[in-house]
Amino acid sequence: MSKVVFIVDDSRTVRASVEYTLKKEGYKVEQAVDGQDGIKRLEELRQKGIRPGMIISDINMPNLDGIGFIKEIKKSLHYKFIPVLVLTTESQDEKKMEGKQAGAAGWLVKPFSPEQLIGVVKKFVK
Amino acid sequence: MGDELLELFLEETRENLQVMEEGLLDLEGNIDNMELINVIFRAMHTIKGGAGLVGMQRINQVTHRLENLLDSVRHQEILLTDNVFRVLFDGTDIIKKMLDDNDFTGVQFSEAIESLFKQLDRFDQNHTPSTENSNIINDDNQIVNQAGNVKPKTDARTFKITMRFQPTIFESGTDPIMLLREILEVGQIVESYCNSSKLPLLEELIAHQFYLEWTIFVETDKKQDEIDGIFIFVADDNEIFIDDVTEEKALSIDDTKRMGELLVEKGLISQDDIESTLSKQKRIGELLVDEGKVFKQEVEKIANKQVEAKNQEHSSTIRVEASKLEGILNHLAELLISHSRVKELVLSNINLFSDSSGEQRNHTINREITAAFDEVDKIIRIVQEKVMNTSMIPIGGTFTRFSA
Repeated sequence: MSKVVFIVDDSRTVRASVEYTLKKEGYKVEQAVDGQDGIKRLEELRQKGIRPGMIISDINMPNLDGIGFIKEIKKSLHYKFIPVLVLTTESQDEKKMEGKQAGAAGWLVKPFSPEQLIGVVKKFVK
Repeated sequence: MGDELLELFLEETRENLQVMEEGLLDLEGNIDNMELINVIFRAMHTIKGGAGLVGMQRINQVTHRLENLLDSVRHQEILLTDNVFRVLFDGTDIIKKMLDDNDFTGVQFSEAIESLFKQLDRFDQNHTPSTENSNIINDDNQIVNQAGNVKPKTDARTFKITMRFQPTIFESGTDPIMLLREILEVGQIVESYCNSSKLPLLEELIAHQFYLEWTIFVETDKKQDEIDGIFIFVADDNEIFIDDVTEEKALSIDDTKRMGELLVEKGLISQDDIESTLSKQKRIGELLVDEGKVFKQEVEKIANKQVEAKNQEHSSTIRVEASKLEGILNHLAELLISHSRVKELVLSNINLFSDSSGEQRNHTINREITAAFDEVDKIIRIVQEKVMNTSMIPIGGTFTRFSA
């Protein structure tokens, strides 16, 4: 199983924090800044023969938001079966359901602790 | 790396503060511009998120409240007045100063922050106190949760976990095997069964669908909450039942029951499977003939007499138009479909049955209702079969007259 985790979030701090935490656990982390960039980056990785073990995506992003991103990638057989986790805040509970309907495998509530992040990543990528 | 992360946060936050300031200035001349409000909101949101991640609770708190204010404006709950602008500018300013002075806890600005909060309170209509599900210890030294239920001691318990997934589960990116792995991590699996009855023939099999159902008995000293947690993402759309069976004898095998009964009980095969397989077995008469214990002729004579006797029972017949039978069969087929629809409706509205005792009850009701529906389904199918049989001609009766 690929130990690559792909984080899509417009905040540098979030991306760096995810990379920092997961690298220590032995994962490799790829990044994208929004949904559109996410699709581009997934393609690039695919050309290199790399398939992320899971994708973590924020919801609120410019250009293409999380929900749109998930819907788009689910159209492709290359990415359809990769588990996607959405990042939500407690005040955005309905986004969890929207995410699931779009095809997300689960969610993580912000702000999350490193332990929470690792715990949920381990559910999908060992 | 901690320092690098901090630097990144500071850099990103300063940029976003600028976005906020400029945005607010523009907004002053353009208060209906929803896009501007969204840009400012996103900037605040990003700062808040980052602050939470790097442990700067004060900044997280201040931006959170500013964000709520702007959100009320977004939802048109309050008007964008000069007062609102003043609060937003003040808030932005305080955060900026905190960064400039490296005062991330805001001690130097506590007065200003308090004053800001007071002003925000005046606008604040949303007061949702956090309802913590705290546990207290009662007089008997037992842990009691808010609903007054005694929590079980954390000794080893045995849980029966039944997992029935949607065939399309892989499409959500979930791999059921990962769930089994998580179960392995919380305890010892003492018994496990795999129900493959839904597995179609190879030519009908869809490779990216899932057809198995698992029942796992796991012994663990973890509490049910932790087991529930394993299924947090799949519980809503799949049938997951978790029962504490420590007290029950669900594990033991009742030695008075036969293999067929036990297999049906453990949910591994259906009653129909048993019947159709038994009917293919060699009968006792055949076996005795094979053993040389009785002559074939004698067995055949008795068999014929059995058939004759049976046919005499069926001597009264009636003539029925074939089209009438067809009509009944069509209605039965429709009945199956409607029935299935009712089941779907009930199960999808199952949350209406739930009360405050929550998950456990939900699972039990769900299972009971499903079982009840399956029972009706079975009966309808039996009726269907019987109706079909009425249109079949029993050959035995016609031929016994010609036997020697």
